[in-house]
Amino acid sequence: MEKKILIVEDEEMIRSPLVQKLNSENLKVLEADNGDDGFQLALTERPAVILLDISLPTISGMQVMKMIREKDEWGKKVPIIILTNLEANDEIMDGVVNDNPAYYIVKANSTLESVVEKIKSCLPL
Amino acid sequence: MYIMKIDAELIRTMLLYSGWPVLVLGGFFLIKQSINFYKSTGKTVLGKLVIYLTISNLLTMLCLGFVATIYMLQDINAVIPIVLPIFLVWFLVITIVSLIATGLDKQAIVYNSTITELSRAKDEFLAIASHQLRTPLTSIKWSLDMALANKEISEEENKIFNTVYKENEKLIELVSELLSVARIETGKINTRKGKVDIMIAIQDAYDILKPLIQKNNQEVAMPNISTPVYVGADKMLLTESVKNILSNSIKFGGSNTKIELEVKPGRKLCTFSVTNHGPEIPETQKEKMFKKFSREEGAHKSIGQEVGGLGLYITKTFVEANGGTIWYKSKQDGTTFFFTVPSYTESMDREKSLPAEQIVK
Repeated sequence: MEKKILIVEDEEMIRSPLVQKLNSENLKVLEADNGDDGFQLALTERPAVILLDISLPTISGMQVMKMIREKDEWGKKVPIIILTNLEANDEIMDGVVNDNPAYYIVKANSTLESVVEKIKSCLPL
Repeated sequence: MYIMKIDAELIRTMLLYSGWPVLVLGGFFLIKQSINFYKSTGKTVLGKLVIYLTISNLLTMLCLGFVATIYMLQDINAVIPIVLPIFLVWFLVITIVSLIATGLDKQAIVYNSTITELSRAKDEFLAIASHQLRTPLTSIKWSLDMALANKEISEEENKIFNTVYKENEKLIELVSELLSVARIETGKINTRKGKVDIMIAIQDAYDILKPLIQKNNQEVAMPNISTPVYVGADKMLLTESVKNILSNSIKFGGSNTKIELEVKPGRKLCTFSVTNHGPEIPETQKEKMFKKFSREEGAHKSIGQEVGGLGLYITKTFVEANGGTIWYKSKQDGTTFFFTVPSYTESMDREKSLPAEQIVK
């Protein structure tokens, strides 16, 4: 079965280099540009890894992560990578502690390569 | 004269048996009130001042009452003209202050909600600023990552992209520094301390700075330890502290130099240090090193760094928030920055630490 990666990110200019890079590594990428679509796509496609931005239109990334975690058994276990540029406040920290993402990545602090490495480390063998 | 004497005795008895208890209880009430005020105003300096003033005023009054009581026991004729007025004024003061304090308490609640509101506004500002400023910078960074990965670009293009990349990194760092300072200046730093492996924090900081280290052609010697070294700290602040002093050494060490990292675990404190082989820091700069916007002038001229002098000020604040201290030693052949962080012990509060390998900014 092909491993799919879901990217929920509203900024086209951030999403496109990431998608290009992942495609060049022969990984199948699904894209959503808002929280609502991201959540629906996660449920219908059941990707192997989910990348979530925090500030998104419709529903925030933290909310989407919570909804996925509460949805079912698959949702409890699927690796979620938070990919954001936000300064973590108390609300975000609580979400991180409760919903246990695999990684919390600050975009501006990471190279494209290191993000892809982290995604790969979450993929099942 | 006889009537006066009866009255004086009656008043003396009243003051001794009912006056004193009322005054002591009133004193306790006022102290309690001031502590409540301190708490409900969000434990500000103002609240502390109110407690100190209340206690010191009460002590003065108690001393005065004590002296008056002794005086009254020695000379009963002094009771009505001297001692009685003192106690009456005292009663009056306590009654009026209690009434005002009750009113102020209600205001304190309003004041407190204003503080909460301001703190929320601060969080919102930081969120918007960090997002708005970093998003385009990330976009540039990742696009350059793609461009630089392309084997077909010429050497000339590679050089240009590298320059843009380095400048972009400076902007990213500047934004981080501004956000850190905004966080420090607008309120206290919230720490979430837990069991953290300092080696992971060092690796995370190194990973963030790796592109810059490679582009400066510098060599970084990692600490010679292969086991985890657990400290009790806020992971984000710890990683940020390591990142800041490492970044400082990258800047001041200069291109093509070596930077050495060291970790010395201890029973109570763990010491982390970074050594660079850049110019010596003049003695005259010592005082200013960890202050806001202080720049080491010699280095400023010789290396020509433009990025502000906030890094060490931020690092000092973060290191201290984690319960450690920061200092440095500078010689002709290089400078070493040290900081300590409390070692992890079983007795430490086991708050859940961040699961992330990356730092939370």
